Amino acid sequence: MEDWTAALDRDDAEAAWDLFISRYRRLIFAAIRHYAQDYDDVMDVFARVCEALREDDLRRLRAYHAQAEHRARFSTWLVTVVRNLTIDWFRRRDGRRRLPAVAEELPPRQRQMFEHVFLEGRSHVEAFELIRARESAGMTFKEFLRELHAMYRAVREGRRGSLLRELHPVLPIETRPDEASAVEASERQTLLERALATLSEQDRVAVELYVAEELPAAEVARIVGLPNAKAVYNRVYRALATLEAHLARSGIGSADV
Amino acid sequence: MNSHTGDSGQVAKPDDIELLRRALAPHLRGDPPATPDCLDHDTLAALAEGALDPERRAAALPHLAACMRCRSVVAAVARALADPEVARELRAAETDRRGRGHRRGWIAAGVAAAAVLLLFAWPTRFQEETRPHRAPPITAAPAPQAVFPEGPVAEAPSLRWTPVPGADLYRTALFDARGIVLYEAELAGTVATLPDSVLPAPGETYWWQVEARVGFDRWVASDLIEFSVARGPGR
Repeated sequence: MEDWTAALDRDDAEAAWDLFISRYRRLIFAAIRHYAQDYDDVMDVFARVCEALREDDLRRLRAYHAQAEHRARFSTWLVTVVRNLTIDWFRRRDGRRRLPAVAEELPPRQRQMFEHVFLEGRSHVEAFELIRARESAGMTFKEFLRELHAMYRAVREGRRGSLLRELHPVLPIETRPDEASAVEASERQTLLERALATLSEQDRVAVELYVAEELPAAEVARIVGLPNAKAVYNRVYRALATLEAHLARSGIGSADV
Repeated sequence: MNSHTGDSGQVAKPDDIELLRRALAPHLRGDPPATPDCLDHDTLAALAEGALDPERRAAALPHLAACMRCRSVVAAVARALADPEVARELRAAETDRRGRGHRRGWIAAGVAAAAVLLLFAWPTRFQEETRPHRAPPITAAPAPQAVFPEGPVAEAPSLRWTPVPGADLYRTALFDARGIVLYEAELAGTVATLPDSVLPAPGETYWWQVEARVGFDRWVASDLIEFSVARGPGR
């Protein structure tokens, strides 16, 4: 039993909070800094986390402590809660369209792409049209995609990419220039989701975590209960073949995805 | 990602994986709301750390396969757990659970030893008010509260605390992690600017405390406050 839980059992909420924050403050800060590097943001989020954990007489902490059985370590549970509170805090910063620190280091054109795509919520095609109309009349869509890809890679990599990866704003369904309408793009996405649904649950989760979430194969193995990274590769390879076959039956080749 | 070999000996081309990755990109699939079926924090945390028992994992997989929100949380927490700074603090928190009582006692012993040295071995201004002990007498006056620094900070050029009604003098002391006194001062205000020679160094842990004089021979003390200065951008 930890000393803060003993204080909770004595119904001494103030002592419980002091003991808890004294022990876990550094972990909370570390979990917040995984997403935010700006000092003021970190302190603001920390204040919000403390507020949320203290509210209703330490309701969240009491609820965890009251559980008869715990599946995870308390510290990992705490990281999960802090992650959710941090992301919610950033999402609620409405109206503040300031360029995050991660984008300030981008070259000018990529910074523009970032503003159009992530701050204004425009589709890639809209962003392309805007940039081409304003300054880069000669830019081809291929050149735009190359810079766009570089921009995504730059902002998603490293510590500063963690927040962006989490926030990923809702965007209109992507429409390629050669597609007749957004409806076709939406249909393409629906067929892909249906193909994914044909996989076993373990295979689908492995594919989603390895491919979409880009987790290392060893991490995926641990999460889904496979013995090692090689087992993940095997499952993903087989799932890929299954998806290709399913999509081919619907008249969609892999290059169309 | 390099190409890899499945158990059939065939090679999955990186292009195929990349095509699928682009098609499955979260920003194309919207931001689904939480549902009553979504997994609780404890289960999500256990999945992320690979600690969920096989039976519970099998029960959670169907929802995880269908719910992008829960998958995102599991992936996010897994990434956070792999962050070196988070991993370091997780280890510290886990070992601290067992050793904190010892460490607190050691720090207190170090601080007490420093206090004894102050009083009896090192002539300082504090000796003008020698008293048999430094423990604050019982008083109804509120104790000063540390304002800054506390916990991890970018820099610590000064020590700041809340004023105490009726206090005419404050004394503050800064200790290193071994309990050695680095700086001490008596002042009327609530800010003690640290001289360049004792500015806290990045990566080190420090402690400080402030006492307020609220009457003749009556002092109220703050808690002992721990802080550390973050390393530079290269950390």
